[in-house]
Amino acid sequence: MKKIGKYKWILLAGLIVCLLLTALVGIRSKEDQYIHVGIAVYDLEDTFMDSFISKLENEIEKITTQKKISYEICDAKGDSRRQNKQLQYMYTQNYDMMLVNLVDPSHAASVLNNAKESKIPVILFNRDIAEKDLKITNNVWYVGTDARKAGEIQGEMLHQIWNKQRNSLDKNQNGKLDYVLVEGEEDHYDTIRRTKGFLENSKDLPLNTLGTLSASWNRHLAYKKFSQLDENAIRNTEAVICNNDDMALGVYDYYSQRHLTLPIILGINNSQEMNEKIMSGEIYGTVDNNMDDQVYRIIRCMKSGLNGYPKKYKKVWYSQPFSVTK
Amino acid sequence: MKQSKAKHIILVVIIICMAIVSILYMRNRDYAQKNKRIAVVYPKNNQTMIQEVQEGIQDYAYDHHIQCDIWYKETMSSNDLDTLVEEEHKNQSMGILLVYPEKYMKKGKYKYGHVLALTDTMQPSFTYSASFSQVSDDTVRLPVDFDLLKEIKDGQRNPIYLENTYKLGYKSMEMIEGCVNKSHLSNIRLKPDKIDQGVLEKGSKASLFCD
Repeated sequence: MKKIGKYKWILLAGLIVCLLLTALVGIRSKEDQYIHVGIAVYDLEDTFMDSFISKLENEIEKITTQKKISYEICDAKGDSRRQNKQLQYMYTQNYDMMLVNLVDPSHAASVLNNAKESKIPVILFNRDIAEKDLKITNNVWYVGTDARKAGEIQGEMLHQIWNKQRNSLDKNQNGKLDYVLVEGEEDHYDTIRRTKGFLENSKDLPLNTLGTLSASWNRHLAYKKFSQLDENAIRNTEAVICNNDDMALGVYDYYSQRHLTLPIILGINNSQEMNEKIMSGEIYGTVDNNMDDQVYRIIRCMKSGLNGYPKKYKKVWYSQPFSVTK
Repeated sequence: MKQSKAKHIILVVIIICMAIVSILYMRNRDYAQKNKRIAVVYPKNNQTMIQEVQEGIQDYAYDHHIQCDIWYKETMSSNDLDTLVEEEHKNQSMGILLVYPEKYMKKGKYKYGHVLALTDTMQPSFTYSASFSQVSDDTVRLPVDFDLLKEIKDGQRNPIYLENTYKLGYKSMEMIEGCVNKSHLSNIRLKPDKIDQGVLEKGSKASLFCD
């Protein structure tokens, strides 16, 4: 009897050890403690995208969910190959959501097919894609701005100034509005739509095209290409219409460095520097793409997707641009 | 008879307990193997500075099937680091890589076994750090200006020493993964690569400069 009592105590101790071990082994969770979000950006040297991503980061950090959100930003520096490599990495990271700003919007189909295979919902933003690509998967949304409308607003602004200050604007008194068009990347949807919107809304104006440049949304390239224009063309330029602010600022740099009188310059984005130059009266105007609204829409869409209500929001959403002048 | 029955019941209970512990242990080990995880902390709003290091980290994670918990910090106190270490331990991270902590932490004494600091100036603050060994001559970092390389190739300029930040990021991840079952990490000191006319003509470092 005494022997069995001792035996029982040993067994009981063994049992407690086993239970403790079980508890210790189980203490480290087998479920990921975080929500993971990947953010692919076409180029953070683009001032608009830099501000956009900073705002997006701040908004993501404000989101309160049961799990903390871990996000990673991948800057492609405008290089499509680099972005493809970053996306390959992203597909393997078991992200709960990917926010993608494509370098080359024609790659959307491949990105969406890969994301579908990896079961990752995608929010594409800022770089418009073909509508058919959005049908590849249910878990995709596009948040951007109405590029055509932005171009149309530039046309309206040019109308206004021509109607108000025709005499002072027509410096060479040829009765025409001599202008240079500075476009973004060739074949880029936003380039095409912004330019088309501008041209269609300026049909009534007596426009005379002195040159059309393609500067890939880049300030330095816009400066370089503008300076390569014929001297006579530059002298006669009365307006410069740019597909974005960075390129508009490149043209501004050209004139200000040579202490030349600035023509009417119009951009798109309402970046901080552009806004300061507009308010100081140096540059005529720009179009605000309503960045705040775009960021909030992405956040709302993301929250809804993460909470398991992916169909709550429309697949395509455009912010409404508006003009900015002094 | 009764005593023998009791003995049997207790034995069966113990065997079941042992089986449960073993299953949990195996499951845990399988999970850890399938979900190798490393936490990385980057300085916030310093994308240009971290670009090459980040590529090295991502390539290692991709090559070795590692999941990354990424955090961007503007400031991080000693308490914040304590919390992070605790949370990442719960999330089964193999370790934490602090990238350029000088951008978000103050100098101090941070003693952790599984924290590696990739740093230029804060080596003394951490038990384990990854950095470049000092050389007296001109050193540059990736990406290298193409014109500078051309000048070296044409013999118009002396050789330079290249601090390969991509490699430092890659090696740091390798160090953390390699030490998963060890009690501590080790320091990493990378020697900058000498880039002279001969190296450029041979093209042996060409891959470093491809954008």
